[in-house]
Amino acid sequence: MFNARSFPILIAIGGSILALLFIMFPPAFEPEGPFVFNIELIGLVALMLLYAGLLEQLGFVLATGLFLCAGFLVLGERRPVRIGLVTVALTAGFYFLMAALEIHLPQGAWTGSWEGGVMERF
Amino acid sequence: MIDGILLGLTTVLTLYNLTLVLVGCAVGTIIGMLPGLGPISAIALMIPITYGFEPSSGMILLAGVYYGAIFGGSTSSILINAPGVAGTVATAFDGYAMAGQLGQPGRALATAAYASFAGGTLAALLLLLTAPFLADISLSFQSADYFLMMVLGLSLVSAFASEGEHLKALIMTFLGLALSTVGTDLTAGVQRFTFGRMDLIDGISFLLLAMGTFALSEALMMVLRRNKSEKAPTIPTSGLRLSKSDVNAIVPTITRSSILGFFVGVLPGAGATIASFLSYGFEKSLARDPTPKFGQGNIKGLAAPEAANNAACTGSFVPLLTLGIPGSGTTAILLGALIAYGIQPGPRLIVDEPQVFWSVIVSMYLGNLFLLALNLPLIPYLARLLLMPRSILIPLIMFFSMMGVYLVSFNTFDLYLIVLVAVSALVLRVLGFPMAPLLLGFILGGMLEDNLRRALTVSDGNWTFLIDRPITIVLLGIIILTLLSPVIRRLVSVATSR
Repeated sequence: MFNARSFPILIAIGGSILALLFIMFPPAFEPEGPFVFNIELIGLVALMLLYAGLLEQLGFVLATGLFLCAGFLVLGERRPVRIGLVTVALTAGFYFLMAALEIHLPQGAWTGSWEGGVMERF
Repeated sequence: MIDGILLGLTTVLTLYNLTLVLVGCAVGTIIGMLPGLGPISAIALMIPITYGFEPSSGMILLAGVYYGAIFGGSTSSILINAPGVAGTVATAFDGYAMAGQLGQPGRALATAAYASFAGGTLAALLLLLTAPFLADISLSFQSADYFLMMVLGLSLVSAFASEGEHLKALIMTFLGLALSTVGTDLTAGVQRFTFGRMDLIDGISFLLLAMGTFALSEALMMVLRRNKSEKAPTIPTSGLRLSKSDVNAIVPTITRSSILGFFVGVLPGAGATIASFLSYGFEKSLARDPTPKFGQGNIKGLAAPEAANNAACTGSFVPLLTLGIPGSGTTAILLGALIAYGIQPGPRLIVDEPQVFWSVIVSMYLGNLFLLALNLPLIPYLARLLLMPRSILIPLIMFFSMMGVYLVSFNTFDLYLIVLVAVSALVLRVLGFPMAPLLLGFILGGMLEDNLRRALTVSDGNWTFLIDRPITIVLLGIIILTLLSPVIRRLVSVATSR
């Protein structure tokens, strides 16, 4: 009888066979490299997680502004004018574009606004 | 068919839809030109914008983005030898040589523009002739045939994978299939692999997976590859023109490559990469004493892969529009978009949604035309984008990927999930696992299960449906041959080397 369980089980069987084949006959492999595992990568991943956590708390404008500035800084951009210009242009541009399309971005929990953000889903 | 073309024309030739073609081509070119971002990322980034659109308008825009992204990718291959996708690797051989060593970036870009235009247009003509015919045949297909055809599509992807990657491609396909089972099972109404979380009840969105495995993980890859020296682009200053002798030299090449490219593109799994390499090799073997040599800036060596690449992309629409089975990562995303618009892809598409079917085809002609008209004068300016430092580019890609996902669900859970997907994809890519099979498996997973269930129901739970009709036996045979082809090839090469 085919039920909700059947297909996942078939995939599991097929996947296990492939994994076994992979262990038994590991393909020759040369990494495309050279890859440098670096602090920038960790910084960017941490930054994305922070952005995910703070987007609805701080609101779109604040969170995005901070996220972009920090991202540029982590990657070694040091010219303040360039950082400021790109950040402001992108954040404001995206905000007004979405406003024009009547898509509500999170305003931030601290503004007490009910638009966007966590409250909208209730 | 004339009715269909007229219907397509009346749909596309409104100011609104024409603007969408134009916008799609322009945005696609810009995104595709950025190093690392190919058509898959470009389409994924644009999908959230199209959610409110009519299905035909949405598809028109996305098709424009697709062509634009391919063209943009060729531009960055030619100017900085950084092919964004595998499909334009062959373009870089002679294109970069012509732009760099010979110092003719304008001539190289013009060749690429005309070759892709001709390739795309010729292939669109072939599509017009073959697609309705194929769709007609496929109307008689049953669930068992569909099931086997999807399995065939998935196996072909691994068979066409590069040497040593067959098993990896298959494993990624299975991972994609497994991910597609997350969420509520629609027949039984049971939750699967949701870990009791509300956020996973609807499953993982294909958009999230596409952005995570392509755009976002590509941005992280750029961070890993940081000490690869960045090349300064040779930006053309003069207009993009071709001399008469150039045109005469490439016309036969383009014609051959377009036809070859189209038919390779129709095969699921083969696609643009194989088409471009095949036609490059073909032209190389045809030419006697070429000057300059292939690989050193030969104009035919540039025109051939460009024409084939574009023709193959058009060809890959054939299985998508007629069977509802995507043959490549890019068409898999387009299929995902179709489903998101509430359209059931498959052979009935041409009957039920003729507007979508025909407007996509008509928009291909217009898209190619617009690309040529738009890009020939603008490329010298657009190419300045290649000067954008990675310290600016990477955060921008991160922002657009995350916002694209957030704007669909307004759920921050998806933001955490895309970071997880991107980091996992990064690890897998470093280990040499290809990502396109994952997407293909993910998109086909649901339909595969559905058709398997129906086939099994019809045959009372009996697996003999696989061998009880000639068509299924043939398909099954091809699948087995496909899956064994790497092994057979290995055995043959061992036997001949002795």
